[in-house]
Amino acid sequence: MSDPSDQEARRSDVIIEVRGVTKRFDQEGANVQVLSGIDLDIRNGEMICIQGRSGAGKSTLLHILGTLDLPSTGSVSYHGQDVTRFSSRQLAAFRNQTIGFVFQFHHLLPEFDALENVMMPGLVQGRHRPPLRKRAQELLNSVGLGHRMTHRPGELSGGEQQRVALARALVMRPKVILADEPTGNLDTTTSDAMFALFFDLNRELGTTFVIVTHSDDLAERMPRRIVMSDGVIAKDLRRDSPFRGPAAPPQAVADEPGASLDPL
Amino acid sequence: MNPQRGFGPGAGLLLVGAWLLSAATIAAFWTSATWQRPLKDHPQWWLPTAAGVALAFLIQGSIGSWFWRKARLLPRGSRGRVRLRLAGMLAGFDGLIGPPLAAAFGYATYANFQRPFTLSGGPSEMLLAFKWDLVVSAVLWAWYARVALCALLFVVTISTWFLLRERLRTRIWMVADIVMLLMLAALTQVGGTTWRLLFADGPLSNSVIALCGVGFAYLMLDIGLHARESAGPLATRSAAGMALAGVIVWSFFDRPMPPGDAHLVLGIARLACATWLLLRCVARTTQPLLRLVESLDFRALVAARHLRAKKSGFLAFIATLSIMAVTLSTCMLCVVLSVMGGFRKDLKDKILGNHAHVVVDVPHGTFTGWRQTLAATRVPGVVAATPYVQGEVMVGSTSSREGVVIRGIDPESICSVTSLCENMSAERGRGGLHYLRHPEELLDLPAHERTSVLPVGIERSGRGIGADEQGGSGVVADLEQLLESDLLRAAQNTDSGRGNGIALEPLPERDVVDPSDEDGASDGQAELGLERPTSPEGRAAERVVEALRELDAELDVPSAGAASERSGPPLADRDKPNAEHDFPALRRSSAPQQVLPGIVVGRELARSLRLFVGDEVDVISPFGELGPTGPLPKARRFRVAGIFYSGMYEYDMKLVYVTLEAAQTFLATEDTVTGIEIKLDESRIDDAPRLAAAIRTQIDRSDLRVEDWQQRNRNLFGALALEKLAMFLVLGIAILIAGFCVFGTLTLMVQEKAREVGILMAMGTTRGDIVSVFLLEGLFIGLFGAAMGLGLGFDLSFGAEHFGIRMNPEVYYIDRLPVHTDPTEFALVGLAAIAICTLATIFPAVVASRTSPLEALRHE
Repeated sequence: MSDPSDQEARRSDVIIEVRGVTKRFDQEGANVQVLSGIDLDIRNGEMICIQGRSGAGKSTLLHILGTLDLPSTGSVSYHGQDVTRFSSRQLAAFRNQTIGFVFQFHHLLPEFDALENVMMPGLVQGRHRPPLRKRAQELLNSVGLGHRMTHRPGELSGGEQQRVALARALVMRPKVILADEPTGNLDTTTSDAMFALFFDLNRELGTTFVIVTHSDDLAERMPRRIVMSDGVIAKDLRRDSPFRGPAAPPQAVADEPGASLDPL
Repeated sequence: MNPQRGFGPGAGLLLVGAWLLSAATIAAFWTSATWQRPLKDHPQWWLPTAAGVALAFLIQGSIGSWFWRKARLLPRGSRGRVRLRLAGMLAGFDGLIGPPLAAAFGYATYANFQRPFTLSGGPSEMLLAFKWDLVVSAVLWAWYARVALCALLFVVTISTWFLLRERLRTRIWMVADIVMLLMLAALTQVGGTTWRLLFADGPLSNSVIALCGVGFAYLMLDIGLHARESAGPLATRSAAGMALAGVIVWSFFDRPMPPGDAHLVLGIARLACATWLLLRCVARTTQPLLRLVESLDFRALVAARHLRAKKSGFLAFIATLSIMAVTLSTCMLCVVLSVMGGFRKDLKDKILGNHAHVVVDVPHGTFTGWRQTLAATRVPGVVAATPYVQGEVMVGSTSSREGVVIRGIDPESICSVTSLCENMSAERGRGGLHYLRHPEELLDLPAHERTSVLPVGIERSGRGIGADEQGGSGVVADLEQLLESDLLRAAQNTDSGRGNGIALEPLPERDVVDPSDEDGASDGQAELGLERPTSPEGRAAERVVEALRELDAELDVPSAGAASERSGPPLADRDKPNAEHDFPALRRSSAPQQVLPGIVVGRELARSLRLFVGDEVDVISPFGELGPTGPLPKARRFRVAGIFYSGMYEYDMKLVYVTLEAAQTFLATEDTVTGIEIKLDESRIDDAPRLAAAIRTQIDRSDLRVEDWQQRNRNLFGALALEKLAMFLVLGIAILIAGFCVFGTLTLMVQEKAREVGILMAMGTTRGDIVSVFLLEGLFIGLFGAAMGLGLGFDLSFGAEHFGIRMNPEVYYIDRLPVHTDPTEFALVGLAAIAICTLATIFPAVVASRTSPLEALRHE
């Protein structure tokens, strides 16, 4: 990190740059500080998991990363572009093309079958349907659901639904996949398979993954772990990863201004 | 629906049965009112009545008890239990009270069949019209209550219907479809065969029958396939089905309904069947259509899928309800506008028939040089022109006097301008215009000309003219009765007026009819289509008149105008044209009949003054020569040369026609005319203002005024247009209420779909897209409802137009409800419905687009 050229290379490699993000909710007079100053760089092709107790602000951070929510202060930049200043129309296009979401409750559209659900982001954009359908079929095949394409979400099991949701998140070839407890409702075997899928995709396509999870077991296997506590990043741990050198020391803790925050 | 709650397959069938029955009862109510066919004409009238009452009692009673028993299976206090109890009570009450009411109504109709039954007017008017007023009005009110009850039951039924299992519902639909198809096929075959037997064996009827047969087989196959849920080109099949139904409906166009009740029943039944099929086809086509729409666009895809999805039963239910609301309101608006359009068209036709399309005249008085002007009116688009002189005079006969407008016309050219000739044809009037030129022929008239114009002047609807002439039932009988009583009263008045104490005994020693003339006289009657009074009263009246006439002859009233001053002879003459042989005295008094100029009067005037063709009338002008005390009235005698019936009371009462020369002489206008009437080419009637302008430049006289028919009647048409606009607005409110329904549906939809909106937004849908999705949903509801409503409205208007709803001509001066369907109006109504539905969606749609995706996704 002392090498300026190395630092330069890393900066150009950074896909998400979070600077001084805070989030405050005003609810009936009570002022709840959920995030109190987050600084985070996420590099292209990284696999990050965010951990923390309930109420630590990890989901909120994920939503802010995914532009579903706006930070109270601070900025979130993708490739140097501050997305917090985007208009709603720009945001819609941005979400559509750059980000794929996988939610805990998978959130499939109940009126549409698996194939249509996977095609949906492309349909939103008005893509030509036949190639889109072909891509969606390929994706469903790759997640092992080639035989259930015409089934509606109600007719699929939880694991199958989650795999459909993953296929949907991938259909636009997004740079980043944001997953909010993707295995929260799944048994161990299924969630293992799910994570295996994530790793495969990361390796093959170089997609960046940001995954919020409760499971320590799974988090152990991730190359980079961020542990959040009371709205700040408590730990930023890197394992040896195939992409970069040894993990940087958790310098984020030193930067954080949240020391003044009342512990909840 | 949980089958353990006990909704067996019989339930739906029972409900459908009950509804068919109720519909049939209402239909019977309407048709009985429409036909005015007395019950006694149906020999076994009590049989269907009793059967209907028993059936109604059985079905509705069993439904009531069934509901009641089923309600016990549901947990106490549950909504379903309350609903079923309510339905049970309603059905039971209906079952108890309905059949006796139906019977009472039937009996009331039976007891009052002599009076024509008018559809219009509330119970109060009927109360005045009927004899057993209290009983009948009570029955009618109860009937209304029953209809309202049926409506309530209907709502309950719908809600119960949606509790049925879907498979069961599909099966019920299928059964209903097959039954309707069978009925249609049977009716078409029977109707087609009857048609062929009765009328020309045209290629049209054959092709229609063949088409129906093919379509029938096809649809049967289709339903069979549909029942097995086999996948297939549903769109093609449904489109074919729709096309077929269209053909069936279309086949009504080229068939003027032949007279006779059997045909009426067949026609109405076929229309009903075809309507049913059409609606079913539309309902069946929705799915494929929505599927087609889905392939267009992402927004359309989501919107159509929301409507198509069967996820939430409640939403499907209220969506159906809102579609029905739109359907009903558009249908109602269309029908009302069609009826009003019918009135307007009726009025327009009558005005155009009696007036010229364009009139050239001066604001006051008359103008000279009319021959050049007449020649100058020949611009392209003008078919004919005729001059006229007009003035206000009194026309008097013995009985009374009436102020009228006298018109001097040119008998040769008038018929090419107005429909006076048609109005004087044998079906509508009497006499002819040629008598104006040759008044001497009036002295020796053929018998058929000297008959009353009243009974035959009325257009018949549905049934033939011939049927009524012999039967003399209904309205005609009424008019005849009226005439008869008039006659009697006139005779009595004359009697008391004279007051000379001569007893009016029947003259037994002298038969009034010479035996040798008996045959000829009765022949004459048959030809005239007039019944000789056979009732004792009629006989008595006849004898009174005969006696009076004889008395007159013996007293030898010295008045020169004896014939014209008495109402007796012409009235008596109508029965016995050659009776004069028996009355030398009478003949003597009318023998020096002069040749008088002819005059044509309207039917109402003829009736009011008791005139027949060949009678003499006095025409009195208030402005005659100047006497010592001012202008003296000038009188002149004319002879009735014709009686016309225009269908407009004002014209029939207030217009009389003489020749141009006679009018000029009488009104002392010399060689001037009041105006020139111009007829335009039929296709350019609506172009009248432009043509009028062309005529104005052509005649080039600043003192003359050129007005087209729209200008001349602008008050009337303005009022009609205003009325129509008001109606449109008032009934538009009905659509607005349907719009509220759509609003509610969409608001609920937005509530339910909030999470999905969030998902879509997370995937990059813009707010605009979300708004469009919900707007499209409203648009689809509007489109579907409007399509059904327009179809139904067209169907009803078409039915009313072709099968006719009778009205009392004594009250309305028209004998059937005029209906005119205007495609533009229908399109306007449809557009209004669609627009209102779409507008009603704006608010829910915007609310939906404001949903924060996070909020929507967070709540689980």
